[in-house]
Amino acid sequence: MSEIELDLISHLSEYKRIFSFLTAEDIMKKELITLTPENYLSEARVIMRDKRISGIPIVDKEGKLVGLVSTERIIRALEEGIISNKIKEYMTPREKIVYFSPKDTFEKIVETFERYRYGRYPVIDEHNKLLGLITKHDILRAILKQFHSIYIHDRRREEYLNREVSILASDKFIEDKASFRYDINTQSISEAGEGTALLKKVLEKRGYHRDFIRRVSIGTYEAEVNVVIHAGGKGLILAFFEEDGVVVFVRDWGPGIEDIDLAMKEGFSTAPDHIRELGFGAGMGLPNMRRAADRLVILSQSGKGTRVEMVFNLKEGRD
Amino acid sequence: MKVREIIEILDCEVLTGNVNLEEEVKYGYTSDLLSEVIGKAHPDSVWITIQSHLNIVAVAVLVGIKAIVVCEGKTVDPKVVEKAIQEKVAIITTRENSFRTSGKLYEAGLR
Ligand SMILES: Nc1ncnc2c1ncn2[C@@H]1O[C@H](COP(=O)(O)OP(=O)(O)OP(=O)(O)O)[C@@H](O)[C@H]1O
Ligand SMILES: [Mg+2]
Repeated sequence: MSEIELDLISHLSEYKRIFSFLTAEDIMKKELITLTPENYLSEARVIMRDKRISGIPIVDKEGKLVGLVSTERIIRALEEGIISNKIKEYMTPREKIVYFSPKDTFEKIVETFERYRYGRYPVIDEHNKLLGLITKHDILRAILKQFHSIYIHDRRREEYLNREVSILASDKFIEDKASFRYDINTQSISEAGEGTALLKKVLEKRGYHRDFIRRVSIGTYEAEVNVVIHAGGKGLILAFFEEDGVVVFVRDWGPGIEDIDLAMKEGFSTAPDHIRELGFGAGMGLPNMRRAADRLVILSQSGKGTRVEMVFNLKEGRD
Repeated sequence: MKVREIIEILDCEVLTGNVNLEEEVKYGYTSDLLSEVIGKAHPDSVWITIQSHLNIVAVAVLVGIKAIVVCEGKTVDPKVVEKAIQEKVAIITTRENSFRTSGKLYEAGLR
């Protein structure tokens, strides 16, 4: 792999927690071109050239993995003048192949990519049967397919990635752990903000500093108003009080955000005219959330609603 | 500058009785876009706007705005006034437009 590609993989490893629910079988490509040991290296060469692939798994009659042929091997075969020989003797043998099992985790996959730096890894079952193949492109494709879009802004990235509470944890898990809960259920814009008002009262009772409360309230209010304006008014606010700060989670069951990067831009808004007349729709809500929170994660799938997670860290000497 | 002085300068009506009259205001901000106010107005501000619906109170509370000047003679619903009193935000109304109102307060030293 080139330097740039390696860099890509190490970036991916920063997100291994987020995508931890993806397994090898979710990621792998299933439509495979395979050859048998009895085929010729020259046939592998033609397939690689025509299909623009960089490696071909070699299987026996029962579809069990017995080897792998890479472009590097073909190039050497050309140099050595053995391109018309059978694959059998020249393939990477099964015992030297680094492979995955279907249930291997995203974390393991990324770590393997980092460690071995091969371009492709077969996925096989317990009987050695070839199920699929994973390249870094498959990893990216799986991520893109899984989420219509994801947005992450973080001032303290490393810490974030190692937190337990996260937007992608199962809903039930985090709902049970929340110290504050408010169900948003209104279409009326004048009722938007009631959840935030309640949360603010709780924060005041708990004795947080006024500037800290202000930050949490601003972020939560913008998210709550968005649920009412853009998502049909059905949603949920959860807050978690932790030693080093407060985590607010707002989710809805609305239409989702089509292009999150676009939505994050100051001034971008799809608010209807009657809402704009009330002064909403400046396209400043998401930017305000980003500014107020130390970390903002938005996850939105078209048709599956939107999840917003904001982390507000208590800063020494500030809040 | 105290909220009381703002009322004197603008020579206008206050709807929320004694609320915040003695509070100190250091800044002014003029906008009708709520998220703009949330993102940019300072705490301890007076906010000049033509919006008069319920959400302005929530925005003022979020930001820490002490007084809202509702311009262009817009009527403010009693429910909004009630909420403002409850949340300790002064609401002032004037027939003047936002430009002139802001100008007067700027002249008087608010920034
Ligand atoms: N919960 C959501 N569900 C669906 N779409 C959303 C949601 N939140 C935001 N969006 C989309 O992102 C856009 C930008 O949101 P943002 O909060 O920044 O601005 P706005 O709500 O349009 O205006 P403002 O917040 O300034 O009043 C929205 O116009 C909408 O298209
Ligand atoms: Mg918004």
